Amino acid sequence: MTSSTWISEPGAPIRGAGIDAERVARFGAGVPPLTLVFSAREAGRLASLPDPAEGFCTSFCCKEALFKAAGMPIDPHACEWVPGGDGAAGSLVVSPALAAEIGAARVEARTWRDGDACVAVVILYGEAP
Amino acid sequence: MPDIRPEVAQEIRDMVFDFFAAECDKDRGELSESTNIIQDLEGDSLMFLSLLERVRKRYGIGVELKTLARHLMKKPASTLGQVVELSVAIVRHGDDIVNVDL
Repeated sequence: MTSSTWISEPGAPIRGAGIDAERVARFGAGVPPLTLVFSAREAGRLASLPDPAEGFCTSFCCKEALFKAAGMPIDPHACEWVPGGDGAAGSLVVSPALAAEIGAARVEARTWRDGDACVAVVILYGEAP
Repeated sequence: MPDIRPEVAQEIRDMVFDFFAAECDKDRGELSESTNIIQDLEGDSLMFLSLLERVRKRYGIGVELKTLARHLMKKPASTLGQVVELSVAIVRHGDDIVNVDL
């Protein structure tokens, strides 16, 4: 079991929260990237990572968590998980159009590896008063 | 909208059943139209998406995931029979599926 502490910035109302976890092996070599979920650009970026399976898994979990946080169908191509460089954490980049559609002024995502699985938590913030 | 030939509908049904039998390590004979994907097969969204991807590629359908999700909110697909019905509808209607009253 993994525990994590996440201090969020006060002031901005939370509009939604979502979480997802998947086993990395389900995105392993020999499993073609889902074009329904990953754009060609994102798939190309993730395929070039040192651990592509973990990259695809993390991105998928982020998109699922975002969908759950939004509470409505979203276009998974309108958001991408961008890996961080040199050990830095990655980030979930959401297109302005999608952010407006789901009513989010800011989207925060945290991802981590838990054994053989990736976990993603996404929180949507509204405008700070 | 053009109708689906019976043999194509059967091919889609076989694809759905074969897929879940393989993914869930079940004998094809154990599955039926009423088999619940989550309760009986421990299926999940990733599995469902993988199947839809296969249907899209097999029949050259360009329907988007957001469109499918909107349809599923109106008409959920919990059993294998419902997944077959959805898959046939995808092949028949493509992106217009969100406007179809199944």
